[in-house]
Amino acid sequence: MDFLKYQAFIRIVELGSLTGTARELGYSQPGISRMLAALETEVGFPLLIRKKGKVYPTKDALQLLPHMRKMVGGEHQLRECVKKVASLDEGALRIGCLPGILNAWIPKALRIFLSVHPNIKIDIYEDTQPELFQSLAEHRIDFALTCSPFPEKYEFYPLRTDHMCVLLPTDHPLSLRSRIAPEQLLDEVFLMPDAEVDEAVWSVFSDSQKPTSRIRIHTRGGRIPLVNEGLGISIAPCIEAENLPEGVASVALDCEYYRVIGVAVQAIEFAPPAAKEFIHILENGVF
Amino acid sequence: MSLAKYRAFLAAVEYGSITKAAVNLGYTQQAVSHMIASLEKEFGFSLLLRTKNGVSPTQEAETFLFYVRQIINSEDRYRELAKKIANVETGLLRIGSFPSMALRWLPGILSEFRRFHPAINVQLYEGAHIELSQYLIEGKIDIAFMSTPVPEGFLFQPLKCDPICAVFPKGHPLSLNRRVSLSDLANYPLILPPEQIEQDIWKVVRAEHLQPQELIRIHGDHTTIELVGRGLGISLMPRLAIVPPLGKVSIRQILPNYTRTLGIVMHSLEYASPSMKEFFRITNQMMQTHRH
Repeated sequence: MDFLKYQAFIRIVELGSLTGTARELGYSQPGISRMLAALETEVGFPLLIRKKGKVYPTKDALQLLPHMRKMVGGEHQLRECVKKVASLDEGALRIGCLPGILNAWIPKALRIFLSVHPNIKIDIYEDTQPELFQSLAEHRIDFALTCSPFPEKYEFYPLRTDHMCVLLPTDHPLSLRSRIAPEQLLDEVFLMPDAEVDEAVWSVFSDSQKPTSRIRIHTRGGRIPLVNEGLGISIAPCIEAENLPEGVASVALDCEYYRVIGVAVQAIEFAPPAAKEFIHILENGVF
Repeated sequence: MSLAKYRAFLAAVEYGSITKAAVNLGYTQQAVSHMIASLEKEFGFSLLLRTKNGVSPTQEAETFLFYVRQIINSEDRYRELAKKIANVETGLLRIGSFPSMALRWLPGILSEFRRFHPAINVQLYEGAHIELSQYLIEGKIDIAFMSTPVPEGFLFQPLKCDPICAVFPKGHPLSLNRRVSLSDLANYPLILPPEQIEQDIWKVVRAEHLQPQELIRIHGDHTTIELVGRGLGISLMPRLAIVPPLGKVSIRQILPNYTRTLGIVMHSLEYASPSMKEFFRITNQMMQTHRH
């Protein structure tokens, strides 16, 4: 409403006509006159002079005109920015992701997203679960692609379940099975996975029956090459068992444990448009 | 309405706190929150990151923060300037007038005006018809006291019909009659103002096809009266311009009767500043109550 008044006045001066301006902006003649009257009341002095059927700005109005133009121009630019952000022609997206999920999902989702919204700047942060939630709390990322369990204070949109599988050398006798029970692994040399999925992996074994572990691996990527070298076997979420090297096979683990992979956000309602769109792709993607 | 919302949003960003923004804007915290939320709803995304330590703009809001500043800064300048202009407008009144009205009417009107509005400065310009018209068009004066015609597009409020009179040296044979026929004047030397200065007089001269045997052109009412008094000739003058002392001249009505219409001229009452309107009102009131 504010800007319409100024915009109308600028147009009146440019066209030298109230009628013309009313017609152009789609107002009634009384409507435009009221608008002008409101503007003159607001400033407290006349803004237009009528002469020979045309209207001219008063000297005082001429002084105000540049400022009105800046206001209206600024509003126009602002609207353009808003439009761009809302239509994802411009914007930024900061994604936090658990490492295993990152490799499996993000590249594909990014390709789809960027093919439609090539101008969005994207930052991807790979981090552990606690760090991701910390980043989310401090607004350093727009959303986290992570897995259960998750704190209740965030909104969580589940994408799929992720079961566990056994990673083992292709020449291992168990690699031909369709499923492997945890008990069958007790005598194996076990490559203990890194801290974060530690709990998940170990929870598949009962307390009394845990495999022995000689080699502890504290990085995410380390275990697959070790299995590939025939140094032992390991357990991993299925999502990380895609695109394995030739020497490594994955077999489903016969247990009830699974985790839920999904998106955690502070509040989807307040998420940036680009984040909403990316989450939409994740939810409807082929994952 | 949107300007207030932008202002609330900008204040929240600049103070890093909705509470501080509210205090500075003189709104309640709720009102500021509400305004920002309404912007967020309109734009379709959130503008502020709300944390324990306060608020900061979202990345999306950063894209147009510059323009919000431009809008609010321009609005500030616009308001300051408008206020300044409004003060100047109401603080100064520039009046143009024929010398006759300046002498006869304006002292009374001005003292009445000043009685009510002592703070308003008044500037007075004397001029002939052609000059005052020009001043009005150029905007050098706000109001003129003059005769018709007035420049196109200007408002004319008639105040008085001023008869054109003949001025004789005392004891002139023609002055023995109460009314003088204009056709009789041609037999005597005439003292008249330059044509472009006193159009009202020359309208009479032309209408009556007066061809005086001798014409003395003089600019200035007092000088004219003085010269007539010394017997150099007869003059035609508007009644109001014939100002005492009139010791050595006699004033007579002319036949046929001619008048000039005196009045007040300005752009239009609708677009007049408050001080102009007030001056206009007082002038009308004074001219109705006091017969000059």
